[in-house]
Formats: sequence, C-alpha cells, structure tokens
Amino acid sequence: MLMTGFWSLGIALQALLLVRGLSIGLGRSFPAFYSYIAYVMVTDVLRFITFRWYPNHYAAVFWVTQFLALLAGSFVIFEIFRVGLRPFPGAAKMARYLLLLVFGAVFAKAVAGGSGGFLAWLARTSVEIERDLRMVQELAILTLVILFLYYAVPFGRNLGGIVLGYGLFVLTIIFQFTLWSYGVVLPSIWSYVQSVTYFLAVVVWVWALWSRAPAAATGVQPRLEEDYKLVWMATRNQLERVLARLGSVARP
Amino acid sequence: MIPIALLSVLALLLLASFLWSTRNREWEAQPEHLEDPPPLDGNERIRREQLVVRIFSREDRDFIRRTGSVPLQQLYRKERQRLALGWVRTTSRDIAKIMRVHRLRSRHSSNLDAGAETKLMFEYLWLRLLCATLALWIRVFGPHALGDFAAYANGLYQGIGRAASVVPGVAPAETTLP
Repeated sequence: MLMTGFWSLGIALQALLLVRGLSIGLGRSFPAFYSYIAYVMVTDVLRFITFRWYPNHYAAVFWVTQFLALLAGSFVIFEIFRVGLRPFPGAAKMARYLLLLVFGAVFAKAVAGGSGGFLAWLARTSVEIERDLRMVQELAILTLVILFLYYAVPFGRNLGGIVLGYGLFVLTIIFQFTLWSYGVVLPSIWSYVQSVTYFLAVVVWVWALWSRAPAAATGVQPRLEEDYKLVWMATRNQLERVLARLGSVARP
Repeated sequence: MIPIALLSVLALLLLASFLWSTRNREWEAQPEHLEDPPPLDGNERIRREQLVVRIFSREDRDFIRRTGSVPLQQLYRKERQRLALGWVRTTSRDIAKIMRVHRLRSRHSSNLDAGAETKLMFEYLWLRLLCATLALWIRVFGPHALGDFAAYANGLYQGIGRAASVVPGVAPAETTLP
C-alpha cells in the first residue's frame, strides 16, 4: 500500500516537474534531463500496469526499462558537463581529460580484470551489471563535481539540484546493490528503499527546478580569455619565489 | 571490480566534501583578486626577507642564552615559535592564494594544457606538504632546529671537502653551500 502511494506520488511529482519545466523554458536548457524525467514517468506507469495486471512479465519489463533509464541517465551526466562548463573552456578541457582517464581506467579494469575479463562481465547477472555501470556513472558525476569545485565553477540552483538529486540516487543504488549482492539487505527492503530514494530525488528536482536560476554571476565571468602559457608561467614564477623563501629558513 | 570502484567512489566523495567545505564564495566573487599584485618596491622586499632571516636566525637565541636566564629563554622560545609558525601559516596561505588565482584564470583558457596543469597541481601539493612539515618541525624541535641542522650539514660538507682535497687524484670540492 505504502509502495503504491510512493509510486503514485512520484508519478504525479514527475508530471508536475515536466509541466513546470516546459512552461518556464527549462526544457530547452536541460533537454536530456527532461527527456529522462519523461522517460522515467512513462516507465513508472508501464511498470505499475504490468505489476498490477501482468505480474508474470514484471521482471522482464523492469530490467529492460531499467537499462534504458541507465542509458538516459548517462545523457544527463553529459548535459551537466555541457551546460555547466560551457562558459569555462579551460575547465571543460580538464574535465574531458579526467573523464577520459576515469573511463579508460574502468574499461581497462573490466577488460583485463582478474574475474574473467569483459565477456565474463557481460555474462553476469543484471544486478551486478547495473551496479557496475552505476558505479561508472557515479565516478563521472563525482569527477565533474570535484572539477566544478576546484575551478570554482558555479552550479546555480537548477544544475546543482540536478547533480544533487541524480548523484544521491545513483549513490544509493550502488550501496544497495552492493549490500544486496553480499546478502545484507532483503530484496523487498531494497526495492522499497530505491523507490523512496528516487522519490526524494524528484522532490529535490521539483524544489531546484521550480524557477529559472542560472549560475550566479561570479564577477570574474566577463574576463577575457587568457593565454594559458602566460597564466602558467606567472603561477610557476610565484611558486618558485615562495619555494626560495621557504629555503631561506634552512640557512645555516 | 567492486572493492576498487567502491573505494574510488568513496575517495572521490570525500575529496568533493573537502573541496565543498573549503571553498570561499566571497573571495571567488571578487575580480580584483585576479589582478596581478603590485610588485614590491626594493625596500619592502628586503625588509620582508630580513624579517624571515631574523625569525629563524640563531643570533637572538645565542644572545638570550648568554644572559643565562632560564625563564627568559623559555619565553623567547615560546614567542619565537609563535612567530615562526605564523610565518609558515602566512606562506602556506600565500601558496593557496597563488593557486586559487591560477585556477580562476586558467578555467577561461581554451588552450589549457592538462599535463602542465597536473604538474603544477603536484608542485602546489608538494609546497603545501613542505609547509605542513615545516610547521610540524618547528612545533617539535623549535624554530632554529633547521638552521642548526643546515649548519651541521654545512660543517660536515666542508670537512669532506677538506678531506677530499688532500687525497691525491681527487679534485678539491666546493667547500661552501650554494
């Protein structure tokens, strides 16, 4: 009964989020995110119908729609990168470099892993595959968040809400799937917690995307693009001067 | 795959929390910080350099020692340690400020070199580590310990140089530190 309540409320909130987003023009700013919400909403209805009237087909419908949701979620992550770092080409370049490093490391681990390699990974259960892919998603999200913080790139309430909601949702799935694979949490509790987490993520999104709130002007935004070599040399010189200052401490 | 990936997620989560807690929104919103600081005039630079040398110099300590007063020596040690730690903290803050300005400027550069950026990041971390180690050293051994150690090493080096010069076939070594 409680599950059905969360389900219905979640669908209603997603519909509200979609209508509100499209009416204030946020759909144009975050097309991948709103497509994801629309997809999940349709999926929720489909799952609800299957669960109610065709329970034998529920598992198949669940996993197929779940993997498509995972794919749609990856586009949301790409959108976070595209929208957030658009005014900062230097930070965007660093993000591409770091994400390539993260994906490269994960791919190399999957291919050359000790547990049978890439084919063995593909032959694993749906839960394990989703958990691994969600982990890659979370690594990408966290890499982006770290880069945003490192280069002081402002999130703004809209983008910040998307990152927070989706990041927490993915993180919860990872921990639940991991615990579940070790037999710590019962399957019924797992599905209940996942629904509640997604519901909370939708609440965060409704709050963050209720009105347009682009990233706050930082005051440094209008600055002209600077030549990296000059910036790098200036920093390097300053750091060398500090090092010389530190060296003077050990003068005999 | 699980343990390493899960640990990586946790590590990145911790790093993100740390960066979140240390960010300085007000500072980042003030564009005047990005302008290059006006160069110090000659007198000011010399005054600052002399101050550093004075804080860590052993002259004052030797002078206080000659008075033979234990309370005075204790007071001197406490105060000089406070001054030295303050200087290290200021230097560490300066390093952080240099790097913060660098990040705010380089994020707009489309020709950013990821390799150079990574190298600079490691140099920055190395300097911060150096400051932390120096502060720990000062807390444990006092502000003059490094100077004493350097003087000892210099003496040893000169001794080796003198010894090498009397061994046939070995060129005389440089007997003073650069």
